[in-house]
Amino acid sequence: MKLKQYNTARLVIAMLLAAFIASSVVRRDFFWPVVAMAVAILFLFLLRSRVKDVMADERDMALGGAAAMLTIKIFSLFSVVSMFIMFAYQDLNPGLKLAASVLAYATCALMLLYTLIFSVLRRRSSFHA
Amino acid sequence: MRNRIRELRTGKSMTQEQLAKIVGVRRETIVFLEQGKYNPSLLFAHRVAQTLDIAIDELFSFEE
Repeated sequence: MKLKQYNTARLVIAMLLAAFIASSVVRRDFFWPVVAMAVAILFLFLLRSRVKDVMADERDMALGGAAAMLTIKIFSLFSVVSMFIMFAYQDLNPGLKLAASVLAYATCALMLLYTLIFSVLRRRSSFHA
Repeated sequence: MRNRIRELRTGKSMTQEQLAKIVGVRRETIVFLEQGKYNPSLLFAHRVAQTLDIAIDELFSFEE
């Protein structure tokens, strides 16, 4: 299978999955979307194993790492500012407090996960991007 | 950093796609490498030099 075919298949599966999840949420069904996601992930793994072309090389890994670091910095800054704004206006809308809390915990979890993975990879002598 | 990859590759009648396939990278990486816009890892540089049948220090040259 060519990389282009795999990317097309991945896009189609993503669109179908998104439509299915959206309709499931409307019907308040939360079980089958999880099953559908698991099936989609497994199917994509199967397709990926059949791709003969190089999917990502060292340059992609290096760019990905730099992009991930910059994304985390920008997202963290944005989320902290948004969080403070939402907390400041929580009296106007009680839902803002919940949203701010979720954003705060999600940002903390993201930064903790990043730090943990970075520490693990730094200790590995065989790590090579 | 300058390199002679394009010169040696064309001398061997090899396309960028073929070279990319041999060394295990995408064609875009070879394009950026030939243009001097990407600094390869030592392992990657070694693989390219080996494929083009030349020593690494003859393939790549640093400019001060």
